[in-house]
Amino acid sequence: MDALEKKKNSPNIAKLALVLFAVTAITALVLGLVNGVTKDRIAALAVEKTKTAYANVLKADSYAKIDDAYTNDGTITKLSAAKDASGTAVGYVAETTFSGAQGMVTMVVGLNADKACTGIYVTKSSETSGLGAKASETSPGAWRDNLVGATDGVALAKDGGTVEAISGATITSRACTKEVQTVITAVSSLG
Amino acid sequence: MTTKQQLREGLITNNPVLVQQIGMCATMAITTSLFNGIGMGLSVLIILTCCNVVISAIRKIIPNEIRLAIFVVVIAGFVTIVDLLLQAFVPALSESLGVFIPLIVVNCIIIGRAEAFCQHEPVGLSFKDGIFQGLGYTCVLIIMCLFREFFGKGAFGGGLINTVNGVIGTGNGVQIFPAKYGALILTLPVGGFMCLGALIAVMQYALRRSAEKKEAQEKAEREAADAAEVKEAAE
Amino acid sequence: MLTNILSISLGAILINNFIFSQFLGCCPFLGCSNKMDTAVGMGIAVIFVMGLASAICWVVNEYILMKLGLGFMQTLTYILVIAVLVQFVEMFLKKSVPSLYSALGIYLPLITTNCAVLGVVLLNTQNNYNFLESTVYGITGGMGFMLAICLFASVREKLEFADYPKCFEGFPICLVSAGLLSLAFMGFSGMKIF
Repeated sequence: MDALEKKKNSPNIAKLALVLFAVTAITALVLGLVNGVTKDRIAALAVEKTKTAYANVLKADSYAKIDDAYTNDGTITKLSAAKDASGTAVGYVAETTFSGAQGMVTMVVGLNADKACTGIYVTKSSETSGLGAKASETSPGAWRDNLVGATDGVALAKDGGTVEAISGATITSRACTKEVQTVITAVSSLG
Repeated sequence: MTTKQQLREGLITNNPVLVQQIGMCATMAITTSLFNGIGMGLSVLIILTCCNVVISAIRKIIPNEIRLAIFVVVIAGFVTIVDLLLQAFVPALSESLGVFIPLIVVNCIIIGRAEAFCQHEPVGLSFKDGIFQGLGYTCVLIIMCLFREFFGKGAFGGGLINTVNGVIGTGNGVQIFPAKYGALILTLPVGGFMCLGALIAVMQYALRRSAEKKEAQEKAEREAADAAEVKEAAE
Repeated sequence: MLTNILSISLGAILINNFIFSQFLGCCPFLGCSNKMDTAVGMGIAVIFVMGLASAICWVVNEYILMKLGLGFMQTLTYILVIAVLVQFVEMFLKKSVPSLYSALGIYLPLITTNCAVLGVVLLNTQNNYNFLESTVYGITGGMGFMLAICLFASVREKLEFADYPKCFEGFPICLVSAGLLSLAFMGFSGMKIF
């Protein structure tokens, strides 16, 4: 029904607009109320999630964002220096987003002070369950343990390195390993 | 319409996914673990019931020309409320369902019931309709999840049983047989399409068989009645 | 920048096709695809609506919702914008391309409830795309939808002469065929040119 027809058939277009506006206004008010009740909790959960991810790869007392320039191929979204209680640097933590086999993967990478990987933690991925999703597993003995201790030049065995890929999930394994290398390169470039 | 009739309709004869064949996007996309299925089913049930009640309550004052716009506003309101509540209290579900929670706004089931039922029926009936149609939808989701999880990964109860550290939404459930013997393809989008197609086919077969049986029974009764009449007339 | 845009486009059309990988837009996909002409018309309308909706909703989100801290109103605002947009597209088509308008019939207003349109707008927000990336994702997402629906229309035209069990009549056989097409599209997963 286009506006011209509306005007001809129902002269009370003002009434229609008023009713629609009233319903929308009431809905918006109710939403505002619910938002007020829940937003603090949602924000707290988000902070908690990042803290858990960071602590999972590299335990430290504080994480300070690094603003200096570093080599970034576009996948590192946040690089932070991990410090202990006295302020000495114990390593680095990087939040990364890169493309896997079935979409974007969000992963946290930890490096110790010697720029060796301390672990990875996949926070968000839509990889194939049973294959690429194995990279997200955190139980002891999971695939991600293969990347602990990796230093500059880490690559899959297929690509000339030493890391075994997840069988049937080469793309995901390669992407994760490449990302660890990217973070090592970035931290090395900080000097 | 009695409650029992409405229940039967919601679950079987007028099942939103299998018979009305609406609301299929989410059904195929999220049925990869039992947690997702039950979570989505319950969310839709709550939203559907609330929207049914509100729309039925204001049905007399909605002008006919803008009724769809008003339905959409009310539904979007409830979906956002449920979305915010899930983000705050069950974040695991919010994450695994992702963009499909806000997409409940355009789930044809809710708009379809509002248009077809709640506009004309009182609040009590609309409330029950919401619950039963939501139940029908949840049942379909659960059946698909069970099937896809069991035959695809050999697991049962992903996200609900065997959770990591007791956090709901994690873990892969009970492994009934080793995952490598499962048909992994069922957990992929292909599996979603085929499972739903097979389920609708089974439902159509069952409904047709039951309709044929009923017809055959009625025919037999009619013939028996005719034969008795003829016999009476002959005597 | 250009490689970013190209990789988004390739992703939306082939690798993460809106219908075959993400399941967004199944209702019109199954409902509108019995004839090739309807499918093409629907595809073009959806490309147009998705592109425009992405652009307008990005602007609304960036300059109104985010500035006022009304992030929680996204769903409501987006669906209202889409509804108004579809209304205008309908008016426009009725005046300038009446043949397409009558061919699409009831399916044009149904684009409002198309999961793909609201889905692409929500995904743009979720992925934090800028204005250009959002619009490109919207347009190429629509192109992926059109590719899927046209491919499926040609399959359905053949299905008319196929011999399948009676209980599969209607949607079930369509869903199974769509599943097979989805299997074919899986071949594109993990593809990385850009």
